[in-house]
Amino acid sequence: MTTGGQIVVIIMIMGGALSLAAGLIWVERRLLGLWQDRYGPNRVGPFGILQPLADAIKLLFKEDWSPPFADRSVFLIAPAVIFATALLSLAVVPVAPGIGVVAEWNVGLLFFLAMASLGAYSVILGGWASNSKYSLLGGLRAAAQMLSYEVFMGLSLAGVVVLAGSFSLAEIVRAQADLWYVVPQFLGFVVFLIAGLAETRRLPFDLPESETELIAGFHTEYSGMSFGLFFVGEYIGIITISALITTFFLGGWHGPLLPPLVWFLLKTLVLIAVFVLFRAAMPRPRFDQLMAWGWKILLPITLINLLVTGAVVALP
Amino acid sequence: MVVTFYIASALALAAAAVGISRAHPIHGLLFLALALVAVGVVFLAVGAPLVAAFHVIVYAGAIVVLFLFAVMVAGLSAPAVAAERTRLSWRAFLGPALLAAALAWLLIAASRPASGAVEEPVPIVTVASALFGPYIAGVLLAGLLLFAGLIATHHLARRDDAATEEQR
Repeated sequence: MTTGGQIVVIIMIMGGALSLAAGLIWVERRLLGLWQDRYGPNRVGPFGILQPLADAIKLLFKEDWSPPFADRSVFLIAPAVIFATALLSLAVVPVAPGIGVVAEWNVGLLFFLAMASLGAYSVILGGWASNSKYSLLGGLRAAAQMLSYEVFMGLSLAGVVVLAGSFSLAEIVRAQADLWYVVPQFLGFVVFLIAGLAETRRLPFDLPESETELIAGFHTEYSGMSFGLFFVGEYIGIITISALITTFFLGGWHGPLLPPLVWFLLKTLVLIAVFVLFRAAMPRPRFDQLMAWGWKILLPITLINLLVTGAVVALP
Repeated sequence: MVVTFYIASALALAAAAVGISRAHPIHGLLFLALALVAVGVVFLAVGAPLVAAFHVIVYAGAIVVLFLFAVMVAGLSAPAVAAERTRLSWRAFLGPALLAAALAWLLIAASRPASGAVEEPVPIVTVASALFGPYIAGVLLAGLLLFAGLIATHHLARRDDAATEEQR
């Protein structure tokens, strides 16, 4: 692809992800309303669709206040980190054959894992720099949770890598032309979904910001657009995880009749709706339960999955 | 790639230098993380993408986060930072600087002059077959060491049965 074409693709993917993230704010609230038997936002524009715009204007005009007791430089860097790492992860996702920023990169999968682990800094530093006890507790929880679930996240993908024989995401999608990996790697799919929920700190795993105990956890002291960056960063995280589940387990752009790009977007959007459904339907576990499930159930499952996959592939 | 190599190396050195001269441990750790990511980019520039990815995942993504976790749990107060500041005199840097200079001299003498960036990246399959071929003993030993560490951690974290019952 030419450099000009590449730049257009980069702008399209970044712009698409950002506008989708803004739209998701409305989609999530409407879907939650639907599932909880109420309306949700329905006043601004037709069906309340201009609500994200109103929210953005409100956030931009609010005073961006940082508390005098905070560690100012770290406090300001923290929200930018999550935003940057979540957007960078999207670079390795192939949205259609030949369309993707660096979809053919031979360490694409590892790059995503690296960005996921760097994303943990944002929440931890935000919690620490706020210099308030609720934020610190949220930051500590985030550190323990994200560090633990990264392990299963990486291991659950090992089976996919064994089957596809490559770390390149485009290669993994091409290998699924006949059979989506959700079938042979069902355990990996379930573990990756759970780990993805924990990594994006979405309900039911939103313990770093659980409002009943910690007010708002790590972002208690944030306001204005710094809060907005955490907020949008979370939505971009959901888009990234949904796009990656599509890529790793649901055959990426493969599908009959419709063009590849439409299939990819369709699968990603359905997964995003599933994420919202989790939020609407699931209770939040206790923190020790979260850690115990991770290390005592998910870790053995992924190891057994990897062992069986390896054995099946190695046997003639 | 040669330009990337030099920029990333300069960044790593600068971040390391700033990191060791911070009074606050969290700031020091942040610069350490930056230096580690920069070293990851150096690996990428010299054609070792696998090492680069694992370097960022393991060191910057896990180990420094654990350090951060420990420092946050310890909850350093302002007096501790002030005490650290008094210890950060130029005399404290003399000895380590001498040793580091000796090490740097050895490294420069030992390595070929200006080997710089490699044009051809090493394929992952080559790394894997080297690790699980001629270097299998090293891989197994590292695994054994990690397993010993796991057992030791489990032993240290073990609580008295009576106390555990009481807590329940």
